[in-house]
Amino acid sequence: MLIFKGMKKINKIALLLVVLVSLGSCKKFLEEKPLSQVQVSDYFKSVKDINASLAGMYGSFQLEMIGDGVNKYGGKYHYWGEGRSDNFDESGYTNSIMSQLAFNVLTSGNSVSNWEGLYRTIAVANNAIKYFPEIPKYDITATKTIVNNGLAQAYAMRAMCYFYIIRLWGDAPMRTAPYDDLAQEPKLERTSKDVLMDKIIIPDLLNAYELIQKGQTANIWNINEGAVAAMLADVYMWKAGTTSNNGDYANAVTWFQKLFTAKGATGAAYGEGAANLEPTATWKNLFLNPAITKEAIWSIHWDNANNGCACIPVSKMKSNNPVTVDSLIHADWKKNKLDTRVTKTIDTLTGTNHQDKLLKYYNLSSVPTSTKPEDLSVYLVMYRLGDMFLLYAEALNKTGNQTKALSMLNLIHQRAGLPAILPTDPLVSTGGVLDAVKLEDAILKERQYELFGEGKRWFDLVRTNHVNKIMDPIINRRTFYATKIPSTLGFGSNMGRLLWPLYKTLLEDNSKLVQNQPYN
Amino acid sequence: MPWKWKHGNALQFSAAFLMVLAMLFSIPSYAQKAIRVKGIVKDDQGAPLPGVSVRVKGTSVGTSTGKNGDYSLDINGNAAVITFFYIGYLTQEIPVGGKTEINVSLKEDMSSLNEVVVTGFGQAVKKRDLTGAVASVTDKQIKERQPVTLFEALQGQAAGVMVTTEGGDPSGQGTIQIRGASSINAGNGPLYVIDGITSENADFVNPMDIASVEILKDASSAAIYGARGANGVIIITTKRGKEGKASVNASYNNIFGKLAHKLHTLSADELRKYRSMRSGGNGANPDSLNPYTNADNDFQDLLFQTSNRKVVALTVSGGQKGSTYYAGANYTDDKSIVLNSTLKRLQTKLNVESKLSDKLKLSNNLAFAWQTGNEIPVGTSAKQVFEKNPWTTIYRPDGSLAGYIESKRNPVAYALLVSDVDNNYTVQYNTKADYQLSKYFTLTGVFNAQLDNKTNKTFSPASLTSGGTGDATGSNTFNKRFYWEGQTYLNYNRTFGKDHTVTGVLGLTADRARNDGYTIGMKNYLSEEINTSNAATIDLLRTRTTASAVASAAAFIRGNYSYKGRYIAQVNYRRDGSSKFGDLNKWGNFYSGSAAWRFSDEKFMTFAKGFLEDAKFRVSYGQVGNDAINPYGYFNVMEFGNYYYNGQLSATESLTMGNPKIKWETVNTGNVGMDLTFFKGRLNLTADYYKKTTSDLLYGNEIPKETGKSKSTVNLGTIENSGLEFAVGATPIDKKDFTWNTTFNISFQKGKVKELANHVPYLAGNIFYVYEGGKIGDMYVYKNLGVYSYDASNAYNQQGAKLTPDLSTLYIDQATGLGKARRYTLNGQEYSGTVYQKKSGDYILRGGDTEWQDTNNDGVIDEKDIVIGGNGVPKYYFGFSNTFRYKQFSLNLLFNGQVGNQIYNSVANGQNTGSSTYSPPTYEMTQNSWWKQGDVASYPNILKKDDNGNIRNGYNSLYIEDGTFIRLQSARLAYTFDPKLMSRIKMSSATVFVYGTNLATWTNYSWYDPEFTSNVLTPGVDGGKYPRRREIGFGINVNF
Repeated sequence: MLIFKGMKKINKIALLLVVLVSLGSCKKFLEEKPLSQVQVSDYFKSVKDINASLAGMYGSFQLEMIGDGVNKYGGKYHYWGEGRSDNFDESGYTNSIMSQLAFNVLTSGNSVSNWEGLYRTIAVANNAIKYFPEIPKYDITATKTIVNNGLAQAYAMRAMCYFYIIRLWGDAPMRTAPYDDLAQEPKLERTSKDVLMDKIIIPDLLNAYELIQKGQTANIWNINEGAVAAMLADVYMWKAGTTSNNGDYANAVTWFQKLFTAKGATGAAYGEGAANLEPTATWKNLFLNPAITKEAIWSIHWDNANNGCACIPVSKMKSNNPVTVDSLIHADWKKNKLDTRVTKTIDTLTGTNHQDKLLKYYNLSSVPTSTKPEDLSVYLVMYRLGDMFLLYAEALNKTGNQTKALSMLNLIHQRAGLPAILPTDPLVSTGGVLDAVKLEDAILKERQYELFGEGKRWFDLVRTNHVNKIMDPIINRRTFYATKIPSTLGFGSNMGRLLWPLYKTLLEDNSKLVQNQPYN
Repeated sequence: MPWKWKHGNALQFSAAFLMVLAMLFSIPSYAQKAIRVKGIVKDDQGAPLPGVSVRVKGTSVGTSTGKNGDYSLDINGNAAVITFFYIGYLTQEIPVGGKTEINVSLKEDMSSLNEVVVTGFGQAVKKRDLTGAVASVTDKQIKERQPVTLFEALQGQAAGVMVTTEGGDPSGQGTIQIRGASSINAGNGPLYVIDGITSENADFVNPMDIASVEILKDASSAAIYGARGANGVIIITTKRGKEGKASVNASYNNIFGKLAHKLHTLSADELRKYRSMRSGGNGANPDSLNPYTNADNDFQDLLFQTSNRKVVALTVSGGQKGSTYYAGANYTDDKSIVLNSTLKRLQTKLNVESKLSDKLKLSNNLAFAWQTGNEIPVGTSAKQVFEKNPWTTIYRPDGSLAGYIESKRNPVAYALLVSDVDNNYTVQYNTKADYQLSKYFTLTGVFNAQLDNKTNKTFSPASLTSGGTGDATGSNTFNKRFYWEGQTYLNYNRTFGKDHTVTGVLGLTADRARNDGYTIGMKNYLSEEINTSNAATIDLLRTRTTASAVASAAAFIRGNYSYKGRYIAQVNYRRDGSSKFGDLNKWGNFYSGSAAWRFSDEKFMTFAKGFLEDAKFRVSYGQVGNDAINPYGYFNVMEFGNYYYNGQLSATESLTMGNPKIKWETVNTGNVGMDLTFFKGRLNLTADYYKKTTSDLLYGNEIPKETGKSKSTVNLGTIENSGLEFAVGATPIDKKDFTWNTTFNISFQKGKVKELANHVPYLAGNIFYVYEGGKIGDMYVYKNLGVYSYDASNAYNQQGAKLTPDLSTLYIDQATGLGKARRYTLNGQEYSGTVYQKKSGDYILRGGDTEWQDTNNDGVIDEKDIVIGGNGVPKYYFGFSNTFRYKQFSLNLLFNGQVGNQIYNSVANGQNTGSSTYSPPTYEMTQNSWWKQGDVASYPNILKKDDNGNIRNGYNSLYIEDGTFIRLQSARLAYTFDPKLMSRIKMSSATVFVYGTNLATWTNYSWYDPEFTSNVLTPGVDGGKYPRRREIGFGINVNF
């Protein structure tokens, strides 16, 4: 009976407790803070946050270029830079992405025509630009140098993304501040590519160069002094080539010169001579271990243990690779037994397990069946001195200095194990005199071999107005092979096709966007 | 102060009234002498009924029957009348009249009008007094079916409730959809309320422990559950004990099953013939010495086995005065039809109720469930059956299981060697105290705590990788969810005078759930015997921990008023707060109201009294909400570790924009209904019409990608569902030895999209185009018109009408190599105009290519020609149940079905696409492919297959099939032993039965089964499901 009474009491108390719990302060009770995230307004308070934010920026760019680490056919670096060129063709296991690129029949349904990832990276950079300057208020160890170096990388990365955008799609919406409130208008019209060039790309890069700490040994995995200069040179070269404004070659030359004064990964200034190129014997280090080379400027770091499968579409794949090295370059290039780059770049054997493989980024001479791409790290090159020397040669050639242009070309040509091209070689001269047109073609050819698999060829063709010249016979050949009907159409005369279509969902999400002609 | 005076007056009046009443009853009783009356209460089958309430009419004197139906009662005076009351039976009143032994046989109540329907928060009404649309399923209905899951128990039983069960998958539960899709992406599952406690699912409830299930379909019924009632509410009440000696019930079922619908796969010979045609007529010679490719397997025979499921259950219930208990334990051991597909499940339940005093009652409920089993990889086993060439062996010469042969996985090896083992535990405990504050007020407090611990282990051995040279991979996952909920509510129940009954409830609830997840991915196992991380390299990409929490709180009030049970009204208000929304919209208000009119009680209906016992008209309107979105959607957050770059983990802003303005998705439902009861309850009819509009749809809206963000949760868009529901219950035959009960329900539904976010249509799952004005479930495909017989058959006039080539004038055009005709006719008339041809891209379609509908008649088959080819939502669905009783035998048959939906047979389409040279096509394709000019075929040129867009995988109307089916879902024949016989061996009852599930299906659908679960917005795409089984078994059920 006593127990019974006791229980009664306990129950009454329990009841009361339940009532109290229910009536308790509701407002506070309903405030749940994320358990695995942090509100943006609570972030950006220390040097740690600068580093993590920059890792996010590079990571976002890396995802766009190399892939998500899981799915095959990911990564747009090669599709954008070489997929439409004479370097790669569709394979027997082709997918719609690649067959459209190979035949120049792009549609707005081609997932590679999506600029989403670049704008995602721009947004990360915009956040950095907005929040980094505030950090010293909270963290005294966030020195001006640290903040400025962070800002410089953000500005340069933003410029790089817009540079990809104007080269691939032309006009595009301009965003230079974070979109962080739904009340802001999310839909922007396309801004002219020239405005993007003059209002964002160049000022951002100049700003980045201003902010970045000079004379430092480069960390080639991040944007550094040399990388900013290389980007500026590249940007001015593009501007010069596509607008036929010769003045920009002079600007480009200025930035080549500034690049040559910057220091590389070994602490030595890049300079202009052969001494600063990676030697022939260790050329492949540029792709296997760029951080120990003198030549590397900026490469993308991919660590298979943490990033997963570097499933780049032109390279060793999980299975059934949709992309293959174009049969013409595969057959022609390997005939040149002196060129030491051939076997270091591609699998020279033929057949589905070999011809389709780019081996440049692997320490392999032919594709073994047992190795899996998941187990291999890949370091894609953004800029390196060899690339810049050849681009410099192009600028010198365009500005009348053919002799020096040829000597720059020869630095690369000879490093490959080939004899120097003489000024009287009919390849580059007419009647024993250097011929700017032929020299340009020779430089382009050298770039194709030297930079094969480095995402440059398509932009080279567009910049130098070589698309029809190079691609017409290639596409005609592919069409005949596929349909058995002779074709003379080639790339076609509609130069609107130099640009890519806007991916269809982009248009659905932003009704103010207008599709590039002649796509629908 | 007239009011006060009146009030005082009423008090005085009632006091006086009560005194007179007390005198009236108490005075005569002094004069009487006590007598003891004994007896036994049985049902009309002669089985003793324990727990029957036996009371002296008009007094509080009473008892209840013991386990053998026996009672004894001391009564003052012979004039007394004893009432025998038992739920589900007609109440009997017997005057004592000097008898000392009264044996009663209670008759079952045919009418369900007096069944009590639980409406939530301590409230319950008789079915006859319901004002909203509520469907009930009782333990009696459940018992007839031997269901293993709640979904099986509810399938086909209630109008407006579409239950889809999960084929043969032993761990599959199914889906339940109440009155169509009401949400686009905030979840469409109903809210479960188990013994008063809200729950996301009811997986841990054993259907045999269920006393009743109430399905609240309209908003006014569900409104008391406010923000989470949008998709309907399912209230489950589990069984309680009854006062009296312990009653022990034991049952054992054993059931065997087979693959219900075996498909025709290709034999090696059939495939060789097809391949030889494909290679241009050259015979494909089998290599008779190759041990790998010299078999003729039907992989279905190798992969599928006889399933066996055993269920053992034991319940003990009983009680003493003021205290009852119910304990149930149930163990299921299921070995399904696919090799190595297993399930073991233990569900236990303990309910204890104690009356601590006259005023205080305490209930404690404890549930524990454990489940383990191996999940079969359907994609790489059951589906692979069709993708592997029949001549390839499944064993290596050394007898071990082969991995890949001819690029195709070995389904048997995948089933046997890949493991995906769950070990899930759920413990749920709730305690409830009811305190009678006064005659009219009851205060209730409830507290619930639940812990779900779900673990999973996956493992795939190295031998199954391509070439057998890869790594074994696996993972260990641990998910923990802790949930607590507190409720207090005050119930009021009072009848004024005789005619005015007022009830009401006022309450508060609060709850919080926290999820923690840990996953470790592994590779490079040192030993495949051990699946823990010490023997493997941790795969950083698949290793992570996560956590989140949500909280909500609500206050609610509900009032009911009934005048003589003739006019009934109910109003409801609830205010809900959720941590998922920001300060602007943390709270939402939900209102509802309903009314009922029992017009059979009106004077003008007296003419119908002879046959129409009860007739009621109902109308209701109300709001409920939905907050089933991810937590933290209202502010911008930094996410960590989305990227990893050069040794540094990232911090980046989430791609989903925070939206401080998001609020509840709101469902408004209007419902009109009618309940009719004829012939003393032998015929019941319920009809309902509803219109349900979901507005402010919570929607993961795509935002322009140039913002750098991807999505934002917004409230935009409206969808509307309307429907008609009929339920009929009847007892056409009711003789002493033979009864026939039947119920039938049918539901018609229509759903359409009224408004979308930014008015932008979008594709949900490829073929489902969701646009304003469109119907939910419309499939957008290329319309397949057949296959061109001749090159020249591709000929049209300018308007797109098809021309008929004159076959005597066919010739080959030398320039193009295309076949042409010199003369065409149109509708029998000579055609002399220009001949137009259809193209796919630049290619002119020829003989053997698929003829597609060129909808816009521009000569090119492209995306603009896509049209609606079908709809995955049934036009109506029904359930039809019959119970026959003959003496000791009873037979129950349940049919269910759905009509008017289409299914996209994505498996067959994929198989015929021929993206891999190694996959055989379907049998139908081998038999009916175009082969040479002039062939009339339904499948395209086998040499070309998908070239020139001939197959259009995923968008081809050829693969849209009728999904209509009628199924004999379950049948059970039971024999109940004579209770007299049983009592001799100290048993109160025993039943033996044979039963079966999925015994017959009538359908035109060609693949395994037309019933399968899918997302509500993308219904009816069969991408390869776990095949359904047909089962037959036996069981025994004994009661002590």
